[in-house]
Amino acid sequence: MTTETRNGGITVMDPRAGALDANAELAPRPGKLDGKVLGLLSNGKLNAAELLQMVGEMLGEQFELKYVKEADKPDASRPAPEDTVAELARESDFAVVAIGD
Amino acid sequence: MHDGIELEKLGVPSAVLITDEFVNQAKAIAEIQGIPDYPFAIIPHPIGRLTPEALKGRAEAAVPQILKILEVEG
Amino acid sequence: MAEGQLASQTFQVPDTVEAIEFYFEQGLTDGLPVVPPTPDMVARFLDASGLGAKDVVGTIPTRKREITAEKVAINAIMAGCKPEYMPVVTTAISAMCEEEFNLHGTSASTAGTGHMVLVHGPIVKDLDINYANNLFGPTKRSNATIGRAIRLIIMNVCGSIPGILDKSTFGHPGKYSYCFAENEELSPWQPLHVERGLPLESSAVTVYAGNAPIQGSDHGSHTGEGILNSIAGLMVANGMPEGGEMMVVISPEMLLHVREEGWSKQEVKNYLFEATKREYAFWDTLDRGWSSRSEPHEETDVVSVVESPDDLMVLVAGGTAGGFFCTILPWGGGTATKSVTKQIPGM
Repeated sequence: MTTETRNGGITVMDPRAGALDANAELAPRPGKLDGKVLGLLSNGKLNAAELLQMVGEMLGEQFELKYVKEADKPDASRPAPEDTVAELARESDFAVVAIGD
Repeated sequence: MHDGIELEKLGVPSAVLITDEFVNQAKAIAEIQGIPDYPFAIIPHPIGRLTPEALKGRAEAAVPQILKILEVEG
Repeated sequence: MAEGQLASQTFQVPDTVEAIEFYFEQGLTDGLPVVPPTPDMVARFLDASGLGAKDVVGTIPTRKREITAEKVAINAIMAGCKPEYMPVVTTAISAMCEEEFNLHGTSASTAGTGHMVLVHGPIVKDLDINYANNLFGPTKRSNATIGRAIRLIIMNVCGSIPGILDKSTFGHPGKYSYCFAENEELSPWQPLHVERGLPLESSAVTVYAGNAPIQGSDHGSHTGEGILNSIAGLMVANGMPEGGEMMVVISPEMLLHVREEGWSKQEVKNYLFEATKREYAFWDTLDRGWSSRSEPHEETDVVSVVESPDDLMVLVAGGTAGGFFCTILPWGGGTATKSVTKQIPGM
């Protein structure tokens, strides 16, 4: 049942699979937030949208935001639909995403 | 996590809020998505069952971290 | 196939006992000892699968991972499978990689579900898969190791390591292994794969992200309705109307009056659907978090625990003595996962 090696031991195999190569880089940072559009992406879990709105209001008090764009996704357990992310990205200069529980 | 990194790929700098219970999971996903040192804002668990007052405290804790992640000047 | 075609990294260990310890040290087990997977065994398992080492059985895009036949074979050996179990394991993994099953979410969530493999058709007898006594407990090598292979693949290949990507709060014992079959002979109804359009003589698997089985009993009812009312009571006690599926497993004895009165499976599902209707006021008292997530409603509006009778999977299985049944809720209670039935290729 086992594979003998020259030194009398056995060879066994790795059950793991690594993630496929992925390369991503951070987007250029916004510098200043004044005059910028804030995108908020909620995963729909309880209090996620409320938390983001509070964050949006606090940022609005500190900076002259152009406006705040809100989006949410239908299913917290899956990545947001491509359309949702693309639409948010088109309008927003920076974004806040919540919540990992 | 995934969504924040997708936004970054589309050119939108993003700060992801997670609770301290999910740091390991968030790091694992960031690594899979190709940015192992992706920064995120960490606030205390839980969120879903908090009163509005308690939730406000979480938001207050998050804002300075968000500004740091976005490298906001001044 | 030739061992030389295998791509996985290999390790040299002094002997089998040391190999078992090596897999513990590497964090590659479910807490039980594994069978050390040697290249010659992997080659034999691949032969039995009918697949090449590099063939992709399924992908899990959110994790950027491909599950190759070679990795399935390695983990199946570790779980203690026989080579002839491979087609069940590969078909189950392939089914779990369907979009609607949501393998990432179901194996990352705090809700901690098991990944059930329900086997159908002639292969149940061929592989000696248990559908009778001690249905969810220890019985046969096939039940124990097919389900375990699925778990090891989810951990080792998909990366669902408890406390890291698997954030289950409780999990449940079915996460060690969750594999069984219907009692297709004693059931008065078509098995699930036939209900879902596959030929009676075909072999298939249904995968379901199922919570732990909740057992109920009825040893006193003298009518089919009485029995079904007992089942409905437990469905209401455990379920929430969040749009997901629900599995109901009924023992042959429990089914007696339902069978004698000639109920069709559809009639049973329709009855359970009606008998689990409750006012929103009732559901709201069970889970206050749910009421804030649900559609706008009046307290007196009525809703069933499932959206449609078609969301019920009704099966006959378990020992022939004992008036028991189980309800098995889906992961998260809602629509974020759906069971998938898939024919085993060529069977």
